[in-house]
Amino acid sequence: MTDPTPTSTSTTWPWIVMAVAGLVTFVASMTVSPDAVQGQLSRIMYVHVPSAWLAYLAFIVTMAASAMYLWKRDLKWDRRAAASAEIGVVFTGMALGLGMIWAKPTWGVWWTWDARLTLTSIMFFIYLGYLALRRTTDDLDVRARRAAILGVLAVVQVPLVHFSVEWWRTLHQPATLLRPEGPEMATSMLVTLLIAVMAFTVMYVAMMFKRIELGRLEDAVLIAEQASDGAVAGAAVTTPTIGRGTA
Amino acid sequence: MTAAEQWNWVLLAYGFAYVVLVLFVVSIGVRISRVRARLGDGS
Repeated sequence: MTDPTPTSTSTTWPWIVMAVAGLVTFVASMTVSPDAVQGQLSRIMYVHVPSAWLAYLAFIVTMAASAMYLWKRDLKWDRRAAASAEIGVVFTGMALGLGMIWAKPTWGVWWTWDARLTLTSIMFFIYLGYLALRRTTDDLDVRARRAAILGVLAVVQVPLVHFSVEWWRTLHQPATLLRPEGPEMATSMLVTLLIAVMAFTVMYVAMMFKRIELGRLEDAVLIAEQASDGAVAGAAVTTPTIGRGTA
Repeated sequence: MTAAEQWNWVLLAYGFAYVVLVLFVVSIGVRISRVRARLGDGS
């Protein structure tokens, strides 16, 4: 197990990178020409698709880091898995919310029990469960082992969600970028979408840096508190004084 | 649906997305500050 280093220097560049990535996505998606069929509504795609992509990426990273923890038993991999899972939950929630906002004006409903939507919501709740599982114990090694097992198993959701539009008849459109025949859309829209996907990916990397820093600090607090509790308990134990009492 | 109505949906979507992102990033910053304070580390 690797002890966290609480006094490591806090870096500021990830905050700047996140802001720039968000700004780049916004400017690119607001200046591209609208779609011929969907009109201005197509602009929602430039945040919806990158959010869904980051959900996939984050949960695959969680799986890889969890597997590394089970192999190496080094807590730095557990912190990476936890950081990626939390970010993945945020982006899954964003993909769901943006999908609902896009669905209402195009499909006429906020929600339908379509395979893609249902499986994405199940994935969202499974990774919320992963985060809840991490709060069930203060023992760092037990927490890491339990979370790593779930982190490896839960990734099965990613291909299920992605291929749900191929395997079942769904209202949701098929994959836009990650399809065997290649992307099918106007070049200007494709370039904008790729810019947004790249900007969001850079934002994810910057978020990972700060979230891992947070995990390292939280582990340091936990270790310090447990050491402090141990010291207090040890001080309270005194040698028995049998036969020397006043009674 | 008019272009103005479509823009309303776009603004709702971007407003939702960026508020979620800003709140999440701020939450990371606040949690880092709190934990550093507990550790007595001012960096």
